[in-house]
Amino acid sequence: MNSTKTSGIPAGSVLLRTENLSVGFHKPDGDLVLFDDLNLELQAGQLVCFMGTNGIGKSSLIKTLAGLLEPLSGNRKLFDTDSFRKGPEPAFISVVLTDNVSALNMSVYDLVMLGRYPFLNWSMTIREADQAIFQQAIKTIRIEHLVNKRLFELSDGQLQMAMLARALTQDTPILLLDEPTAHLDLNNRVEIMNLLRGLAHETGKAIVVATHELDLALQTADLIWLAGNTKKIITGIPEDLVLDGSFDSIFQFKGFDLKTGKVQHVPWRNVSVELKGDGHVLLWTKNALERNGYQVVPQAPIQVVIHLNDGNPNWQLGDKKFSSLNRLLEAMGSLPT
Amino acid sequence: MASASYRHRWAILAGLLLLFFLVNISLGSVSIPIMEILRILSGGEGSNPAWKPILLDFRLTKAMTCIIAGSALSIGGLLMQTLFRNPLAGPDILGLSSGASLAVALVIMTGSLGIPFFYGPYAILLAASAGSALVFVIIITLARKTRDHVSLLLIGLMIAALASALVSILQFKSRADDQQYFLIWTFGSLGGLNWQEILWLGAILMVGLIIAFLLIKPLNSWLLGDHYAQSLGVNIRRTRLIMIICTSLLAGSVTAFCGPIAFVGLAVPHLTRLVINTMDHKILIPAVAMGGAVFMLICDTLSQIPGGSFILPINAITALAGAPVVIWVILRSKRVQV
Repeated sequence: MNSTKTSGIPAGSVLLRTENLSVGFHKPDGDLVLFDDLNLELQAGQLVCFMGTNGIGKSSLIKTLAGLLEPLSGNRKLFDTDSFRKGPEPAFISVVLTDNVSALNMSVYDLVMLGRYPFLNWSMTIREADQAIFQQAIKTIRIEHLVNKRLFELSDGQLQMAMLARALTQDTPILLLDEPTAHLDLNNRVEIMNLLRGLAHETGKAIVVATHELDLALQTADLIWLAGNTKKIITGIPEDLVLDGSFDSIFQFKGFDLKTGKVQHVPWRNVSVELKGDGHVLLWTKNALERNGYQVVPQAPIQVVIHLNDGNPNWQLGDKKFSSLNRLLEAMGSLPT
Repeated sequence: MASASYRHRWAILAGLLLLFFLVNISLGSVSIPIMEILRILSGGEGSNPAWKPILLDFRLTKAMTCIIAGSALSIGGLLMQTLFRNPLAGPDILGLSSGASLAVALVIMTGSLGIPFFYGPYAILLAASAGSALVFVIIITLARKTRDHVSLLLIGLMIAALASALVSILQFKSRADDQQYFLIWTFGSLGGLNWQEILWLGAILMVGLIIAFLLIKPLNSWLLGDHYAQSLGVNIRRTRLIMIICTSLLAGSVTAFCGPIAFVGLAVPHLTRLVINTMDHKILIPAVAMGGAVFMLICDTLSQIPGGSFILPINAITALAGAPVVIWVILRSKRVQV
């Protein structure tokens, strides 16, 4: 975004800082504490992915950081001030929340333009600069074709992109996004995450994305905030958190090995297979065999040899050749064990 | 969207307003030719000297009351539908008209209970105002205590239920004459206001409109829900308080002067969106105000058509004319929006 306001924030400067922040709710029978004594720092130019299991309090922390929820204790400091600030900061923080929007008769134009409201006068006179920021936002999110639609005509994913465009139109140095890609298809998900990272790096915005997309987060985030079970948040770059086992201990992956990035298979057939070949065909053949309960080992009586004819793979089992893995698996299934 | 794209739609509303204003004042038990009406309205004298007072002191006051009361109730309805983000809300959702009914019932029916009956042309007006004001104070006090809009909605409904229960008890203990008198008041009445009262009502409408207009920005943000609205800088509690005050002022004063006129505030915002389909309050507020005036003029015209010798209760007509149209709107658009 070519905004005069947020471009030119030096990378690395701290935009938001929490001091001993506790997040939760006051209840008649004692406080419900979700996060305790947090000291987080949000730096300019960073895409932070905020991860954690369901119900851990990600949305509540996002709302507390945005000033929409009062903290149980502690403070939030914004970059241009030395003093603590309470409440929403429309000029500094924009949000995408998981709250349902009930006003579905609104047009996408009206929705996205709401992002300019904090900067308009009471009669909402839209200036050229506002139009420019609006145009830039819908171009960035690629929803130009949706502008005249009403919200009830949109799919969940399109609505989410419109909400994202609305947040961009607010053009704030800080964006706090709660599962902004939950309803998007894989292509859009990757595109939006890349776009957010690009936006953070180019304009110096600080962007926090609460997400469950582990693979995407690992590949795009500059920093991970990992909500643990101890009411604390572990921060670090993705690779460090993978290698030191933080992810494994928090998500308690069942049958998925994060360090190899693979789903664990049980070799329930008790049949070992020796595989000869190379390249990606070897990897996918191994995957197919393991998924079907075979164990792939370096030496075994059963041998599968991969041949490549003009780039088309075929598989040889004994003296028979197969043109697809499915055929191969069928043939192997009928072998006497 | 740009207001320019609604320009011809404004013309439709303005045209309807003018048309039904003329239709409204040209109908009545005495038939006056339309050219005579136009001549009298432009300051001339009618061919029959009786026509001028009929037109100016009876028909014109009633038409003006229609316009003001219709606008005021519809703006109140729009504000409540936006506040509660609920298409079923109306200005009476706060329980104001129920409070007014209770107070009026007390004034009319306590006579039979042996309590000194203070009665006069302004007794009803004062009672209705006091009843509305009392409920208003209760609602405001409770609104400060609860953050949740749905709780407030339920509180309004409960106050209405309480008030009508008390009215039932009063009716059970009162004379048939007094019951009849009270019943007629609950039908609502658009006639009988003098020019000074109309001026008062008009001034209150202007104040309400100005308040509503100053709120257009928070009202638009309000549609996204509390959290988004807050993130855009809207002070939720303060805005809600102003919306309640504005609605109470509009609906309370109409109830005081015209009785508890139902259905208009609920129906008109939906009907107006037939002509101008937008969520933008900058356009909606003036459009709904005009729509309310048109709707009330139509209803009042319908109430005096049969035979011409008697006038049907306005409250029966508002629902009779409005309900089928609202059902049609719902079926046509498959969904009702606030």
